[in-house]
Amino acid sequence: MTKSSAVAGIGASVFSKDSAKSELALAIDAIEAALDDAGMSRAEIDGMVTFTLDETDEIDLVRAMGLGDLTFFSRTPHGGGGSCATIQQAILAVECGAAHTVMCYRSINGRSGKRLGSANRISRSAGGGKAAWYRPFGITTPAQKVAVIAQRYAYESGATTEDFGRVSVLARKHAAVNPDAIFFERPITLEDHQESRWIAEPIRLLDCCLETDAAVAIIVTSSERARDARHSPVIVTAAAQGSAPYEETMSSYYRPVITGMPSMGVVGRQLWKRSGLTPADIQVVNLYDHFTPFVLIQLEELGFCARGEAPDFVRDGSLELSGSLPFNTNGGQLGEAYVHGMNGISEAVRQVRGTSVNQVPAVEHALVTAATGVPTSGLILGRDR
Amino acid sequence: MLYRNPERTLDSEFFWQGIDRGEFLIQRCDSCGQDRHPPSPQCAHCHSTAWKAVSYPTTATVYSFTVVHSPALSGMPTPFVVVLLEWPTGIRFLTDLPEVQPSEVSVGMLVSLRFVEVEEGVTLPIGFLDDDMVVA
Repeated sequence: MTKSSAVAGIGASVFSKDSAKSELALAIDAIEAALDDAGMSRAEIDGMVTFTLDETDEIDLVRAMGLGDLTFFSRTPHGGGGSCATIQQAILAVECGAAHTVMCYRSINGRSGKRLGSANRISRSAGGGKAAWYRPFGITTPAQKVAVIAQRYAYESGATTEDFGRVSVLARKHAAVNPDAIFFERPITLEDHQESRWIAEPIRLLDCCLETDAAVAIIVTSSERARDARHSPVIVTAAAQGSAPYEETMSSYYRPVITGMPSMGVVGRQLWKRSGLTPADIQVVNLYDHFTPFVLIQLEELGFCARGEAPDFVRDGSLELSGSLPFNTNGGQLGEAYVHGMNGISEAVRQVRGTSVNQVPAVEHALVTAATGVPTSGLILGRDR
Repeated sequence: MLYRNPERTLDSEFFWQGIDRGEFLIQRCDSCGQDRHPPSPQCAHCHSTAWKAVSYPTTATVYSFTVVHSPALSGMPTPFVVVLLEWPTGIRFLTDLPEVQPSEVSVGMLVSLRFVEVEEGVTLPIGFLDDDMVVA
């Protein structure tokens, strides 16, 4: 990867709990917004990347939107673990010449339609007999699976439910000033978190992300082309996917140590190597926040703090806008919307452009991660020089 | 029925046949002796595909746990306790503790497996506290 690809445009639908629109219509809203943001014509789109889970087909978008020939179309697996990987697919296509301009998108009626947090969805999608090792014993949802790992993390690190809660409070603080956020003007206190009901101990309701009807679209093209777009290009400084041994879908219970996040480690090591950067070079992060305990483990796995020290790192205010590593400045998926990580990429783009509602001063590099507990991906985005 | 009947595959059939007979079977590599679970056709350590099923002790320690409050599943009143058990060989197995109160569970405690017909025709290895404290 040669840092010769860039994000030229970002767009989103309205974020809501009941869109009253098809996912195709939501995707179109996001893609039109991204084209407008980039100041680019739909005729330039010759590539498309979405999630394997996405139910809006590329060919339906081509027909509906009057797009032209596609020379590259690809999908990324493992749910939210594939968010940053869509951008990696796009830059690989652009840099090898398979496409010039790639539209990455995700459209999901995640609240009014199929709710990913529900047991039914998981039981249908769990194949290959793997569900036999948890479903018969009452573990059926992502929150329940993550809880088993979170409890062991709490045991080993001393993390408490308050430590998990601080992540949520901070996300809601950032969402409260973001007019696009589901939880705009609705901050919470740590007491609110502590009073929220248990879902699966040690996970409370306010440790869980939203479920949202939403679409996000992101345009990736050559840095050269992006320099003629409406905004300054946001360079894809590094992109990576990662899957470490013993990975299971949110139930990686059979590793010698289960309180790390080795697949994110695979991603992190590649991001640092390819970018030549270190954690100290990152001014702002957007970490996948479906469940708060996994934000703490990510901070450790990516090297922003030492093993077992994330609770103190968060308690010390490091993730605040005034801290050393401002976090999820859009409110993340706990506060803005659950778009399977794609809205975190958009926010990192805004931070590098300097247009976030919670803008961090002098952002040179922003780091974004995809879902944790599954094979995952990550990005470092940076300013054009 | 939907939730508690485990899906059997060609790789896991031996395990569930063992459960039906009242045996807790774990795969042991014929070549290097490494035990593995969940079942798999090949030893990830030495790459041998030769293995035997060995009968494991039915007592293990709690490595981690959760107390499930929501959503409720048919036949499993909430809250209920789910534990990830660990044997000295490093083998881990997840099960539920239907007769244990949430306040009683902790990492490191001993749990014994019994083979319980949870539904007609569905037998599962279910956890109980070692001293057989049974809530009526």
